[in-house]
Amino acid sequence: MDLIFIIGAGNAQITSNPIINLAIVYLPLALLILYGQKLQTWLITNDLSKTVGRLKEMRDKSRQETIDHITEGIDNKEETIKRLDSFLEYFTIMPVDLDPAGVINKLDHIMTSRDMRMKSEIKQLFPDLDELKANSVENVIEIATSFNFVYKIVRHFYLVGKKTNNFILLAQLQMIIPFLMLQADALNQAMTTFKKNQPVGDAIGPMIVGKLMLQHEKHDIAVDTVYAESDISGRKAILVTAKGPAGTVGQPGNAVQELIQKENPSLLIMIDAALRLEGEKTGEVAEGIGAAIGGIGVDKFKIEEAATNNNIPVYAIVIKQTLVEAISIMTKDIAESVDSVHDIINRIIDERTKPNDKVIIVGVGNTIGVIQ
Amino acid sequence: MSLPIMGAPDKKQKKLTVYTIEECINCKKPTKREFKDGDLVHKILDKCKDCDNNIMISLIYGEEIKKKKN
Repeated sequence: MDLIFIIGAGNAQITSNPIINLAIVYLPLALLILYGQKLQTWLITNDLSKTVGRLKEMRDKSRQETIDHITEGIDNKEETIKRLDSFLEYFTIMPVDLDPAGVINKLDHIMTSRDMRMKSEIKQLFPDLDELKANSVENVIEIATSFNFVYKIVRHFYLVGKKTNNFILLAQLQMIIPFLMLQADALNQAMTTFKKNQPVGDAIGPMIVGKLMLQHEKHDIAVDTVYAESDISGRKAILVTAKGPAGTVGQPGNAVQELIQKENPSLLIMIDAALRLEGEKTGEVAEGIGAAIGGIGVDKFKIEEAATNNNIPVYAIVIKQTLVEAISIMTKDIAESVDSVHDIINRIIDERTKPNDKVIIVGVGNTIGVIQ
Repeated sequence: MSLPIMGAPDKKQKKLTVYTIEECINCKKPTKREFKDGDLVHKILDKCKDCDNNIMISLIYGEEIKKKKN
């Protein structure tokens, strides 16, 4: 066939035969206009089906790893696996917030009940476990539950989109999938770390304060939370953190509330891991003002309220890291920030308080793998 | 096939090896070794050979193994 290419102003011909030109140029154009979205939907569905499959694999792997971890040296494996599967389906119903007054107390009550129930059921299921292993089991079950939840939500929207042939729904799901997969990868890495009781990036707060607590007498102040008294530059330093080396965040809100009432400090310093922005360096230390504490908001509320009512300034020191780094093995950059944060604490105390003042220093985070 | 409309996460996962840093409480001499089960930050271990004070685990962290160039 004699092919002639003529590219002129708005006049593109592929062959000399106008009928064939029409078929080659305009037919696919018309098909794309009419069925383009269907083609795109098919491509997205295909892509999502692979992702859902990958998430299912990860979910099954996390379930199996959890089973292997918790049934180690246990005779009645079948009963344990049955209970584990019911744990994976546990849910928490958030309190109604149509009338927001008092919602924090309700939230506190629900979250405390949830934690207590989980702890007591694990204790019932494995009465001979020591505290460290029981906490490790609890953390590993929570990771497997999160995996199960992420998988089920993604699968739900994928199936609804596919069933209703909803391009917009599928496209939206495809857009957030990279972020969900990042979280799934983070959970995957967290599983190994929590099983071995290794410190995670989030443990940097308890590690910094824990080092100051060494060789001082520790006292229980709230559930899974301890405090110790020390002397820093002639000031009474009251050091608060979750009780390690088990994987717990404790109840810093209750602890700070009680200590503020009891000690009437002149300053509150909070140290925590903070999510870094892209472009920022992991392990970078930053100072600021306000309650440096994440979570659902109950502890933050209690600390802010106690500090405001007693007119106590709240200083924050944060150690930057990504979400993945916060829940997987602590990296060298994060671990090596301990000494620089100690220098900042000393400087703040010297500059902002007078001798004989009282200062509360709180190390916020999951204290897994860290002894105080 | 995926549509390149929103990018994708970095698939190059860093492989970290976990190390334990032991340090004498007195002479601060650090020793680096691979992590063993049961290692915990601030755990007291043996006595220091040089000054007979306690050795403590000061840090546990993951570090990327750098491939040696031939």
